[in-house]
This record gives sequence, structure tokens and C-alpha cells, in this order.
Amino acid sequence: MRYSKSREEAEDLLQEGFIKVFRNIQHYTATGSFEGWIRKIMVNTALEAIRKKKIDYHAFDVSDAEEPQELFPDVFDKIAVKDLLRIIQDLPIGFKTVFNLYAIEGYQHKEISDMLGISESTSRSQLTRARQILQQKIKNQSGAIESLKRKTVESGK
Amino acid sequence: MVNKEEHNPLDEKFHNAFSELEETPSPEVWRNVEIELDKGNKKRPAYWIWFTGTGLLLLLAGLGAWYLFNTKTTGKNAIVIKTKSTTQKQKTDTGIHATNSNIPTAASTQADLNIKKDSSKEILSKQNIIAINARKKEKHINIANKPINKKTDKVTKSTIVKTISSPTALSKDNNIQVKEVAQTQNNPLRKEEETKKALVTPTVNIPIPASKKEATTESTNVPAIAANPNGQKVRDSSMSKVSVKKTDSIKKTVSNTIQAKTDTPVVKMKVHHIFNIAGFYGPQIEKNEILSNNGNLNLNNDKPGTSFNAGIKAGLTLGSRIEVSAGISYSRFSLSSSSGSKFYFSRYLTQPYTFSGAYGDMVVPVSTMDQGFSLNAPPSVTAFIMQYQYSQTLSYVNVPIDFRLNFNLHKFKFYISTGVIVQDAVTTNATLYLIKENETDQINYSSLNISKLNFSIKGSIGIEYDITHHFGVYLEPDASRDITSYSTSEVKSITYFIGCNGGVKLYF
Repeated sequence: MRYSKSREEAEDLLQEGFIKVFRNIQHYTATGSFEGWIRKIMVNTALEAIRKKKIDYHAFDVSDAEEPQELFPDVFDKIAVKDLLRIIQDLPIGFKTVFNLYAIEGYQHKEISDMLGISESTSRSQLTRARQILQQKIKNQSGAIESLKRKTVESGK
Repeated sequence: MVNKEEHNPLDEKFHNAFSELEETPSPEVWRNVEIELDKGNKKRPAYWIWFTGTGLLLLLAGLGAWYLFNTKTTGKNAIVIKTKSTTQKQKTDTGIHATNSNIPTAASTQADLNIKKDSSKEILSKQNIIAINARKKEKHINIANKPINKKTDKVTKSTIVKTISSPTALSKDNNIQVKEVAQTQNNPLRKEEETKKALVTPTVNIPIPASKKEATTESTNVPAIAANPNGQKVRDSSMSKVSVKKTDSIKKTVSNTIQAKTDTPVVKMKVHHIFNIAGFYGPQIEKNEILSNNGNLNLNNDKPGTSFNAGIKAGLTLGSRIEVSAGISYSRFSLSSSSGSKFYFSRYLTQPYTFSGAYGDMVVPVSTMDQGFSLNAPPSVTAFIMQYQYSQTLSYVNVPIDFRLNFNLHKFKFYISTGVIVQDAVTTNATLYLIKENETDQINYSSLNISKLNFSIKGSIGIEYDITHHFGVYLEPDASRDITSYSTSEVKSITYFIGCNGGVKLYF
């Protein structure tokens, strides 16, 4: 779901991915974990769909991006996981893809650059920019929650 | 797994948050997976049928070509001599007798040559082809006894066939005719021909008594009219050629053996036509299979519409059994969706939405997709639902190139053929109907992205009946598939066509 815009799109990818899994199950060599093999197929399926959209990854380069300041831990904790998911889904597709691959899946920039056909520096700048946007959205979300809480308390009084 | 390359607390927090996130997909996903897997399992054998069929066709064509190019009968115009042979075994059947010449009897000649009947047929065909080259337009040649004219013998370019008959040989049961290739000593063309013939025909020196030397070598003195003892002219019922050559000791070249006949005085020679024109028409059924899922939505549930193919082609016979033909035809294919199917698309669509069909893609702009939907819908609405229906109609001008192998040369011919079809799309019509769920208003979209030029391979079997020498009809079921994709997109698909063409054929 992190790679898609909506639940429906994610289900389409899931469907496509599982069809590939079942059709290629004979190619699984048991050298790695089965879960890891399925995960790789799912990620590749998502990337195939993204590649078709022909994203311009060069909209930002390294010089444009600055590392975001660290958030206070309690800010992050206030937000539910489903809200975090929606924040990620709303990211521009290039940022979202690189952030997912790097931060969640654990791929290196070199691997990401190979997978997406971009340079390592582009991968780095996309990641940095994604972090900036995420941090900003989390702050906004956190502020909105705080505000809602205050209103609820005040109306309760 | 948290990335260690460039550690960031934000990454770690997201990673930890999503590591325990679980979402249950809707049951429809698993149902669709099962349907797709069932489809895949059913379709797989079709590939084997295609590959095996194509392989067999190529193998048969190759074997046929090999057989044809390795047979000894290599008549350029494929002249086939049909003779009615008898099974008479008498020596006199194959005997050669000359009234005024001392040519030994063919019985002894045959004994000397030790010529077997089967092999003689083959040589007979070869020699007859040479002998009738000058008259190859004739369908039937009646070989009759004719007197030899010295003057005409000398000026005739082609082989002059002279008949020497013996009253002895032409007895009741033994109507034998010998065709002697007249020797014209002063004719250089004749000499050249004999030199060639000497290379391919068995030569036997048959001693002839000196007293008869003149009579045998001076062929003009030999009465060439065959006559039986009663003095009646008799038509030949067999064929052979004897080349007589003047040397110190007279050499006689027997270039062929003798085939006896009892009752049929006519040697029929069927000349195969080398050029033909055919007109054909037939229905076709199309089936498309999309292999990859690169489009936003693959239109796999189409049903074939009315499709046909009609055209003309010209053929050229190479050898007696192989024919090459090329022509031009017009074909029209159509299909439509079997029913309206529901699909989702993102409310926040940024790229055009691609419907991938059998004959090409329909790329619908975002504004058309969003048409009729409220963009002020609550944020919780992330996808819109629609139904779709579509139809596609294409017409092509084709250039089919076929290689055909006839299994037999009778009036009823059975054959196989294989070839390629070059297709040029001349008209493309497509209509996509998008209908909002639970509503009747529809959005129409008409545009099809399709490759202009396509190539297909074809294989067929057929039966042909020649009503006359110049006119025949045929029926030819065929199957073809595209080599290049009809679609211009990255969608990979295979389009099959199964058809049956019927036609008429004119031979020249």
C-alpha cells in the first residue's frame, strides 16, 4: 500500500504480484527466505507499475535538498499508523518510491539507482526531499491533533 | 530491516511503524488471482500446439523440397508422360526389327543392355522430354509413322524422330515402334546434341554386317513407314529411341529402351501450368491473449465480431509440387467487450489512463476519466468506480506470400502451405464507453493507438479440385498469428486468427 495511491491500486498490485508468485513458484530455490522472495516479487511488481508512469526523478538534485531537523519523539508517537500510511501515499511518486525502498525495505542507494534507472545522487536527493515533506506533514498532523484535543477538552469543560 | 547506509531517526520510526502494520485484502483479490491462474493453466497447452504445428509444417515443407530437388526427373516444365504399359513379357515386345536395315532385334539389344523395365521408364521420360521440347505446347502427341525426308531431316533444329518398324515386330501381338533419332552428319546442332546424349545414355556397339552398312547408316534409304506384313500402316504403341552413328564399325547408340503397348496408340503428355491466378474469400475468427500487464487495464474479455478476408493472388509453379504465390487482400476484424466490467481508478489520477486491447491501446486523458465525478468528494474517497464497454474495428490491406507443397498431382490435390503476411492498417475505429457505477450516463472515447505495419505467419492445409485444365476450385483452412504486436504500447500480446478461405483458380 505504501507504493500506491489507494487501497484499490494496492490490491491490483497485490493481485498481480501473487499471480507472479504462483506462476514462478518453481523458480524459488530455497536459498533465501520464502517471505523475502515474495517481498521481492511484490516490490518489483510495484516498481513495474511505477516505471510505466515515467516519472521525472530529476526534478530535484542534491543541492536543492537539505536534511530536515530531527523531530521530537512525542510528535511522531501521537500519529496513528494509518495516518502515517496516508502521509506516505500522498507523497509525490518519485519521493515515495525512493523513501519506501530506502527507509522501509532497506535497499542501498546503489541498488535503488539500479532498480529505478537513476543515478545514486538522484536517489539521495529524492530521499532527502521525501524526508523534508514527511517531517512537515507530520508536524502539521501533530498540530492538528493537538488542536483537536484542546477543543475537545474545552468543549468538555 | 533499517538501512544502515545513512541512518536517520525518521526512517527508523517509519520502518518500525510499518513493520507491524497488517492490512487484509478484499476477498475479490484472491478470487481474481484464482481466475487468472486458471486462465493461465488453460492457455498454456495452446503454445505447444502452435509450436508443434509450425514445426511440423516446416518439417514437411523441408522434406518435400528435399525430395523434389533430389529426384532424377528434372524436367524444367514438369512434363509428365503418361503411358499405358502392358505387362507382356515376350521378347518380341521389346524387339527391334528393321526391314531394310540390319539392326539387330531389340530382343538381343535388350539382352545386351540388360535394361530393366523400371529403369527404362525413367530414361524414357528423360529422353522424351528432350524429344518433345520443340512441341511442348501440345497436350497430347500422337506418334505416327512418317516417312523420312532427307531434306527436312537436315534442316530440323530439334531432334527428328524417325520410326523404323519391322513387319516382324509388328505382328499381331507385337506392335513395336522404334523411334530413331535421325543422324544428320552435316548438322552441327545435331552433333552437339548427340555429344550431350552420349553422356547420359547407355551406348552399345552393335556390329552390323558390312553388306548392310549402307542401308543402316544411310537412314534416308530406310523406309520409315511402319508396315505389318499385310502392308498396312501401323501406329506405334510403344516408344524408344535408337541413335545410329556412323563409324568404321558401325556403332549404334541405344538411348532408350522400349515400352510395349497393346492397344493405346496415343502417348499422353500432361503439361503442368507454371502460372496461375486465384481469387479467395473466407471468414476469420480472432483471439487475443495479453501476456503482460503493463497497461492500467487490460481488455482481456473481448469477443470476436464479424471478420473476413478476401483477395487475389498469383502463383508460380516451381517443379511439379512446389508453388510460390503472392497477392493482395483486404481483411476486416472486429471485436467488442462481452459485458460491462467494473474497475477502479485513482481519484488523483495524474497520468492518462490506458486501456490495453487486442488491437491497440485506448489512452484516455485524465479530464475524460474525471468527467462526471465530483472532485469535491470527501477526502476519504480516494478512488472512483466505473464500468466499461468497448468495440474495435480494423481493416487491413495485406500482402500474403505463400509457399505451397502439393502432396499429389491428381485432379484432387491435397497440399499444405506456409507463409508470411504483411499487414498495413488502413482504418482503425474504436469506441470506449465509460459508465459511472449505478448510473446510465456514459462517457464515450474514440481513439486507438495501433501500429500501422504488422507481420504475421500463416500455416494452412488445403484441397483443390481441377475442373478443367485451366480452372480449379479450392478450400483452405488456415491459422495465423502475429509476429509484431498490433499495439504500439509495451503491452505484450499474441493475436491468433483462424480462418477458412475458399477460392477459384485459373491456370495459364
